[in-house]
Amino acid sequence: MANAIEIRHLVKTYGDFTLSIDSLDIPCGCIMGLIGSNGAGKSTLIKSILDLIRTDSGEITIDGVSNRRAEAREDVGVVFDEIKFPQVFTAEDVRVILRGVYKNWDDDLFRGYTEQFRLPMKKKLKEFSRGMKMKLSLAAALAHHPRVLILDEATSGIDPVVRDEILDIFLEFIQDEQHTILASSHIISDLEKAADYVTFINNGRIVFCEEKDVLMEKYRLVKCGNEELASVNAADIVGKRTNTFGAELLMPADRVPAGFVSARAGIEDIMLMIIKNEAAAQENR
Amino acid sequence: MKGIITKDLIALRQVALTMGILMVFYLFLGFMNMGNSDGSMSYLSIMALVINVMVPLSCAGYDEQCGWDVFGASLPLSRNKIVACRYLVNLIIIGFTTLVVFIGNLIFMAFGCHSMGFEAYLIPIVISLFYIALITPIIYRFGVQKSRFIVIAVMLLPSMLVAGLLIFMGNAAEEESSSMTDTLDALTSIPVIPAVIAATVIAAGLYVLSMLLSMRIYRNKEL
Repeated sequence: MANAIEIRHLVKTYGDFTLSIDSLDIPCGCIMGLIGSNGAGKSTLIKSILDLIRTDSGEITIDGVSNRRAEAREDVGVVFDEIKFPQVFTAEDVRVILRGVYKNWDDDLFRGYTEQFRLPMKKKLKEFSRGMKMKLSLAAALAHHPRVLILDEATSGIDPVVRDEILDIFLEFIQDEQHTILASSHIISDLEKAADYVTFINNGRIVFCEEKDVLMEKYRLVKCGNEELASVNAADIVGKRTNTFGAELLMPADRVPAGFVSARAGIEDIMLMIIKNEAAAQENR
Repeated sequence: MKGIITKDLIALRQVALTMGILMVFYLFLGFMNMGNSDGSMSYLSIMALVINVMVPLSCAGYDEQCGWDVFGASLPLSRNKIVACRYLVNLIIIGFTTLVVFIGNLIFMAFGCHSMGFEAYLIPIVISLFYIALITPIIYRFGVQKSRFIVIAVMLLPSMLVAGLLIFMGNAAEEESSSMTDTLDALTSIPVIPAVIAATVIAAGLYVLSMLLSMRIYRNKEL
């Protein structure tokens, strides 16, 4: 399977924060979810891919073309957390502007999306709800037939009904196996529904990049009392939440001791417990 | 590039009303000074100048407010082209205001004023080019909000220098009145049209240099 985005030896430093990614491939035909806490490096990674920031080192290619070249972005659609057009503009203005930017701009496709999303063409953006603005951003990002869609917290602050509608569009877009989505989101339930792969970034490093289904089979949540906890090999504990009566452990599925009650771990559980574990390890150092 | 230029022109549509009011205001002032033919024409030039210098600030203000820079840089356009578009939009507006001045001149002529000289068209263009060449790299470097004070300071500096020079010349004149008169005579004896043409060439050169500097700043900017 070819890669839509390839990242090699990427380093970007801001003061005491460093994003360092030795290698990351985003295969064609998949939805890659990017997760991590605030300040973990998700937006820095997306900005690096879009060449919005000057990286210290490393190479990034989009469909085999260096991201430094403007034409690499011809087949990329981008949706940010906010619409980046002046609030006095209309959807019609957005259409006129982007028609003059993208070679493959498709007016009919854009109008099709705006009709599907029930977006008024003549109303000013300041009169749009947040959901409508996001839908317009998405329509604008898709109307030039991109092969790669990059979303930076695009679904944050949107109600579940609209989010679901947007997720359906993503799933429709990804039906073409040449299409790829890279989506960073705090709303992990959305990624759990739609993503094929999950990349977890913490403190500027990739903790894991796994197929979602493999990841969710890889770990188990184990609930145990204090006595049982004492019998668990500490090296097998990936993450731990303790309470008065015992603990909830995140463990590799194949390391759960016989007789312990375990349940499938969600992506959010995995992320939170690993972050806590890393924070605790740092405190102990 | 067409899309980026269109974006700025659509943004300017929002300030078109302000521009229209300015035009009417200065045309009205011109009519009120019909007795002084040169005065009527100079109001038109001032109007052109005010609009020309308002444009780069308005465009950059709209961009900054909505975070357009981030989106613009994610489009399949080099940053150099994005900067070049802004400079091109400024030239389009300068061309437009010059046309308005020309039409205004025709109107005033119909009411019996003398026709404006060639230099009267060039002077607002020259000052606009100088001003835009000066402020645009500052806006790209610091953004509209932060650069507002720098722009005011930069614009005040020449005025203060001129004021200082006049005070100095006034003091000097008290001591040696003939040298002051000589200086003024020397200044007024400079042929106007060649001076304006030379200033236009220098302003155009500065405009290009300013664009290259803005491109350099914007290329290295973290968005």
